Amino acid sequence: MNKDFVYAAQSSSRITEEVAATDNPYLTVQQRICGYDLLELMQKRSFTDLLFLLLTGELPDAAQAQLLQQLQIALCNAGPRHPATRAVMTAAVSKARPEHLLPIGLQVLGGERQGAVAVASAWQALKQQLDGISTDNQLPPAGFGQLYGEADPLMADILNQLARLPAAGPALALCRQLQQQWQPQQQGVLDVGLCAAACLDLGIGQRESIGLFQLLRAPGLLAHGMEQTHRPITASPLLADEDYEYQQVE
Amino acid sequence: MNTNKSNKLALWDSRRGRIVSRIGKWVGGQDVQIRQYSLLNDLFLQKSYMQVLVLNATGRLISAELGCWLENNFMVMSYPDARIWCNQIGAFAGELHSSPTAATAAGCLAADSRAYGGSLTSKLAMEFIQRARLEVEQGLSIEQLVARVPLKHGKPAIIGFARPVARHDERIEPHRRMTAALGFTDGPHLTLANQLSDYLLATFGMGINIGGYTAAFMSDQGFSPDEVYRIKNLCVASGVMACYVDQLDQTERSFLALQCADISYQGHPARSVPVID
Repeated sequence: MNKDFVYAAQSSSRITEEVAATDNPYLTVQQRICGYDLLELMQKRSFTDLLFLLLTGELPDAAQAQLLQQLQIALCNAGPRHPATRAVMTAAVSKARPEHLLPIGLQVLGGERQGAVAVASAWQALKQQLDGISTDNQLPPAGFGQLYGEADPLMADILNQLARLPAAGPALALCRQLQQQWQPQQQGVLDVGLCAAACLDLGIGQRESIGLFQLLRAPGLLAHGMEQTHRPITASPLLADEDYEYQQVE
Repeated sequence: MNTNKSNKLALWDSRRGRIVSRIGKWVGGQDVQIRQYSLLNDLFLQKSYMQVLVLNATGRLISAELGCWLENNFMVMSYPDARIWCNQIGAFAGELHSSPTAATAAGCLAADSRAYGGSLTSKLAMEFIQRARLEVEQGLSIEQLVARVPLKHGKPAIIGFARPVARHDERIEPHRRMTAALGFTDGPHLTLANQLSDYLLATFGMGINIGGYTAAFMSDQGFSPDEVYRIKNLCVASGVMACYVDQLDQTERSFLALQCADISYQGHPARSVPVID
């Protein structure tokens, strides 16, 4: 093989350790997650705790678990007018295979404009402000903006609730400060900014925050999609020709 | 609602129950408009699928020659070899008997990568070569251009030059022949890319790869990096599908089978779950 062939001989992981059966090295008799036995985790810990463990390598304390659980609930349903939910609902009612519905929603949700990629941008912007690297306050930072021309009132309420929790740290506090600062310009925290701030305070990394946002938004995507699978294709509007305006560009 | 608020919401109000489009319209039972063309009267049986694909992605109706160039370029971006990362995704989908569409979509998503794949890499390589061309025109030398690029494994990390698997790119010479045979000449981007390739080959033993060649050629054809990203996003699809099909009738979990010990665990040693505080 070429001397420049630099690839590892085997894959590695710091997350999962699988103990093989003595008579079949392919079968797992015990699984440990970051050192913890899976069956013991099932008895003693919540799904939220496991999510934190998988993303950070350590179990959360009670306050961290509370913050993550409230964030999970806050973001679990983007509602039927969110573009990602609408994508899922449209696919579902037009009889896409049910197993595709969640991936469709997550892919659409992965966008740069107020999608999952924007969580990482917001994470970076907040981190820079917390580190004193960025003091630019001419424009609202990534993660802040408008929804339908105004600050998002629901996200403002969620921010206030999360920022009062014991595990809320400097990032959520900064968000509240920015919320007040930008309120006169009708700018406010967006769902992506909220997720980024919570991730920062929980010690969840920038890249991990992208996927966590998708995961937290998944239940609402799934539910709205599955609901539509039970309905006929005619249960959703299909515009008539007169409601489709083609503006030909020469 | 006051007047100011009504004005602010006017755009959204005008789009309730209404789609406004600049790209086309289907008129049921009659025809389909694609930009300024009639699909059935101007394009069907007259243009290639690749020409229509580019039209939909960019608004440009390209020549038959450029359509042919792109089609052949797609052909060599998708090998039926399951060692290639996106094709492994197809193979895994085949193992689980996922739908062929899921396999293709998943494989193409995997190839939406900054390391390989021909879609995002084309965009990144075009951004590089277009910026480099401007800088060289302003007096920067090839040596200076290369010197400021960070090194990776002792070689300059320039997208479009060398490959994730370091081997001579077998697609370059056939592409050079195709470019000439179809009547294209090297423009300023391809000329610079060739100069850069010669320098890198002599200095670091790494030449231009297909991503770099495509990026320079498409830049010379007047495309933007984002346009080529949109054109080439499915270019690995056929190799993914080949690897999917290959696994459909093979034994369960037999593709690159792994024993438990084949994954090196490098995490925390075994420990007890603490009581919740």
